[in-house]
Amino acid sequence: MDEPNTNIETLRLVSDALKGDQEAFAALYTQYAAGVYRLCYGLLLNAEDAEDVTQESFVYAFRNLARFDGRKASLKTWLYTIAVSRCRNMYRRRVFPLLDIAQLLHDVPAPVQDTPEVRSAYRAATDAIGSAIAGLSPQLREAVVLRYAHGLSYREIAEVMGCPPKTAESRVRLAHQQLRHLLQPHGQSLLEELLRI
Amino acid sequence: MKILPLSDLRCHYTRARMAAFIRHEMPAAQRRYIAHHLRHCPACQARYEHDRRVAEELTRELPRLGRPHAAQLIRMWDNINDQLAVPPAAPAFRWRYGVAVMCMLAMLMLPLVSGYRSLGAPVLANTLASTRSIYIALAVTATPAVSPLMASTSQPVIALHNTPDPTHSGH
Repeated sequence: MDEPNTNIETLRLVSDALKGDQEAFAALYTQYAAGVYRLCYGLLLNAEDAEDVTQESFVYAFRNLARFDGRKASLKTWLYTIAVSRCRNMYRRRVFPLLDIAQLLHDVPAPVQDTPEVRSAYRAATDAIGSAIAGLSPQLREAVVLRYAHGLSYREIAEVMGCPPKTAESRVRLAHQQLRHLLQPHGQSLLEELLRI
Repeated sequence: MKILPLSDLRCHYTRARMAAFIRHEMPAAQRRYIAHHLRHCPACQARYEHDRRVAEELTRELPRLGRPHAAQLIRMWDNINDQLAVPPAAPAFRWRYGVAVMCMLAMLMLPLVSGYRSLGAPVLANTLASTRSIYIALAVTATPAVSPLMASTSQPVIALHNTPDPTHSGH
């Protein structure tokens, strides 16, 4: 959930946008676009699709902003719900996953220490995480991305995924179990390397 | 059903709540219980350490995944503005709903088209008529001359003779 003061500010922006203030729309977009795009990218693992879904989500949200009820949900979870629903439509439209891990991790910023060892460990770890995430089912991927990439609580994940909080918790746990097995071969040394980055 | 020993149950309980424990998302009493178990169970402790590292790794790496460039955000904003400038299209007629309605109407119209008669009445009349003919046959065979044993059943037959004939309701 947004911080209380952020929430008040967001509600003010929503109110201004409903009155037709273009700057309020721009401010809302600036505040949430990166998060929505990252969510779509984490679920679809394809930059082009993520851009399309982000645009669709914002167009829908801005056209239906009057339907947003700040007492029921934060704007963030409302936008995420719209984006997740569109990502699910996208899963249905194509065979999944169609991704290139190298491309997937192309935009990840480089580590601070730029030694060959660190670079190699970093690349191995990011590759491992990318393939591990891609190997999850869409439901588990949604849960794990919302949890770890966006730091949502179980209640918020449940709100976005449209399921009870206990189901959200068990999906995160299942995803965690699968990731544990998938990331196991990289072992302690790699993790230690990562911790030093 | 296999009954697990108490120690296994504790491990099962702890492992099921490991993710929530790592994220500090559980009531204090539950947290104390799990922390106490972890101190005394090396297997669960090892699992906890591993899960915590995986969680740390995910928390660190996943937010970096798919971070958009400024140019990308500007491009998307321009596209959003273009789409918002176009008035929303009227909801398109959904052909599948139309087809479903047509099918339902066709099913309802079918009896009318194929010579409608009440579905219930002829069936009921036929059943009653056949029942009546059986009873008449029984009444004929139940005379004492033919079968003394059947004579005892004459009362129901008489009663049945009084059953109105649905095909001759005028009498």
